Amino acid sequence: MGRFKYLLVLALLALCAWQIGLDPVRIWQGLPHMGALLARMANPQWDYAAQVLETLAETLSMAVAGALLGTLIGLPLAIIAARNISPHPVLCRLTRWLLAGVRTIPHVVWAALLVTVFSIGRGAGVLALSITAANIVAKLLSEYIENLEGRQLDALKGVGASWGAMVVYGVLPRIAGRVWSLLFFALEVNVRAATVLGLVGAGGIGQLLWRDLNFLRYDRLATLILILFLTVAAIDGLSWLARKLQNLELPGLVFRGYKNFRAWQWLKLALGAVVVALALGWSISLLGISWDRFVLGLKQGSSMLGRMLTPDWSYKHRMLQGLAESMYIALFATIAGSLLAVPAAFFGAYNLWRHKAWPVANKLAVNFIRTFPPVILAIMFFRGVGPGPLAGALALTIYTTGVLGKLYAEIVEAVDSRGLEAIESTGATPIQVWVYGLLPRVLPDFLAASLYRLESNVRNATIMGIVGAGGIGTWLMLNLSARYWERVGLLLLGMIVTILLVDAISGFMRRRLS
Amino acid sequence: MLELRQVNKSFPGGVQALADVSLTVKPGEFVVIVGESGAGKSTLLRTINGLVRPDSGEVLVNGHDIGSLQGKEQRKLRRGIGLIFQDFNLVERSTVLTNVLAGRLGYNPAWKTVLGSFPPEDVELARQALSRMGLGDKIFNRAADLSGGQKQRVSIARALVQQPHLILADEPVASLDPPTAHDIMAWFRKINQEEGITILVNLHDIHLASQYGDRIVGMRQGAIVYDGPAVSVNGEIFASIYGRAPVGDKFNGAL
Repeated sequence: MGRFKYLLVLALLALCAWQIGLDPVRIWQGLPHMGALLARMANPQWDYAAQVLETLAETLSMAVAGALLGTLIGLPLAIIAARNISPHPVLCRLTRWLLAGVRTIPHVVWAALLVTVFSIGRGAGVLALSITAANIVAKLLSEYIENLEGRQLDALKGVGASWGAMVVYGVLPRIAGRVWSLLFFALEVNVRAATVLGLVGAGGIGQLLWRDLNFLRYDRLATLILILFLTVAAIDGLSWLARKLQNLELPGLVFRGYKNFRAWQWLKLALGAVVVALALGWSISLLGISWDRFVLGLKQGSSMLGRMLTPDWSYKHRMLQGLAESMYIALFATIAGSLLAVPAAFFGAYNLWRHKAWPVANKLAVNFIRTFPPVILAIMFFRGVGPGPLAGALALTIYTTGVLGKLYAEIVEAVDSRGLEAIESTGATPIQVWVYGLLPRVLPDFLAASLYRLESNVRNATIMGIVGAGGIGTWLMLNLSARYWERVGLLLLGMIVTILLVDAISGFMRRRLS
Repeated sequence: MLELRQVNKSFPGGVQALADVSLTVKPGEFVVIVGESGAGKSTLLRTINGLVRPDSGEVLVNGHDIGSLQGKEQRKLRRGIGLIFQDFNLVERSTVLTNVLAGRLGYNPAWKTVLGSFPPEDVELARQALSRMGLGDKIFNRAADLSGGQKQRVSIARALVQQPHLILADEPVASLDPPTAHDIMAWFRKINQEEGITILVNLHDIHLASQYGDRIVGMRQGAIVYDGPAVSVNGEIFASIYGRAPVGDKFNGAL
């Protein structure tokens, strides 16, 4: 039975490879072109760089505003959605449903919809980024709150504290550090997302990307991608630093008396209020949407929604075709990426190597390929294999290898080394130690991580079509620009059902694993 | 003042944590509840505080059935009951003072406490409780900076500012080293004798129990199997609580 399962996975991989038109010869012939693109990055066009940097500033401010707004909206949602502290069970259930529903629609699709409602520009982009960031923060934070030990809240329940007092004295001090790190996590996600929002007209550097792509200016694209890479890497570094900073122990303040202590508390409260107000004010001003425009947009949005809710069923053939292609891309990328990530993880795990140079080099490489957003990677593959599902699948495979290579290595590093020593002491070679000692122990965790990745890859595969890298996104973009809302409604419905289905199956399998 | 009448409680999975438990505690008593882990000691204490709602039976605190009360009424009853935990349950990032003032949350309106505002009397109360517990110089320290024994003293101070008539302590010394454990138990005895606060302490260690408690309640599989003065606990009673004979003469020596 065990062998049979692996054969089944390999057969699935082969089926997907065939469906996306995997052609080794074509890839081989395309490699020199891609190499040339990479070589061009080593030789950037500085006169074009100035133009790029201008739009880059807009992209970054969109990402920051989206992360700030998202965190501010996500925090209260997380408290309402956490089962152990929610003010009301019905409200808790409704919020969870809302979050799960919003999560099925990828950020680029949100941006595309918001662009038609609130006009072209960064406003729609900031809104889309806020929506997805709020969702990430609310989901991860509510899970974190639910994992707080029940007893910690009991102590306050036991003194007869009200709900508000429990949140302020029991929950907020315990999640403050987490909120801080989530803010930067949202920023990391947003920077990657913000680079592609311009493809649908939602502001930022994506608009330049789109133009260069359409005019086949690969020389400019090389410069642009290089700058994007450096930016994403810089933000990741900054975010890492900010999270480290949070663990820094500040020297304890000494207060002369209760009055000083209260003054300090008020100062903190006031400073916090000012910072939040400034963040909110700046982010909203960046939206650039006036109140009248907002109201008008809501009206347009509701008529658009009305048309989407009466889907054009005669279009279902295209929808199914697109969904199938997206699924092939996602499955191929997940399986191939998982297989490639296994050696990457073993070479990257600190605890398996006496000389740390190996894992350090490996971790650098894995982080390097993880930096490119999948859509950007797909554009790079266009140079080699042309637009289409193959480019999308290869791009997503590389990205998956990067993400899983990192996760797998962390799983391996968490393994207790004593069991390995036991096998090593029998005189086994390193390969034997890995196969007999390590693999059986980490495999369930590897599989769980891969299933999570599958959920994320299905979402990624649905938007690949936005740049022409295959899947349902191709038809979504076509009908979005034609404002054919009945068809958009049907395509979105198909996407939502597929994503919910994949999430449910993957969730079921993950529970079986644990 | 505290009376349990035929209280039953089962948890999902079929574990009967409390089986027909009846217990009366008079004001000012020092009762130690002993038993193996899983005997239902924690559930008993949590039922008295209303954190666990019994399946059947009544839990009367000052004549009110705490299990049937809701919202504000229940909070009012709870603030008169101090609660102490094995792992202290302090907010590590907050100051010692803030942790102790949390004991006054049940007495103050929510909107004021949310802004960190407490009446001066409450602050004075917290200050006195802390200096009484020997922590007068630590009030502005972060709770995280204290040792285990100090943390448990902070949580006793938090219970004291509730001005409780009853203190429930769930394995309060299980995370502490033996000398500190005796120190904490001595504090409970002191509070019991000086202020007449009724005290119910859960311990798994019967030696410690018979050293500090006036009255021992032994639990096994959710039921009370012994209820009597500490001095009359013998090897036979030990066996009925723990399901095995005491090892060697260590047990008899402790009495």
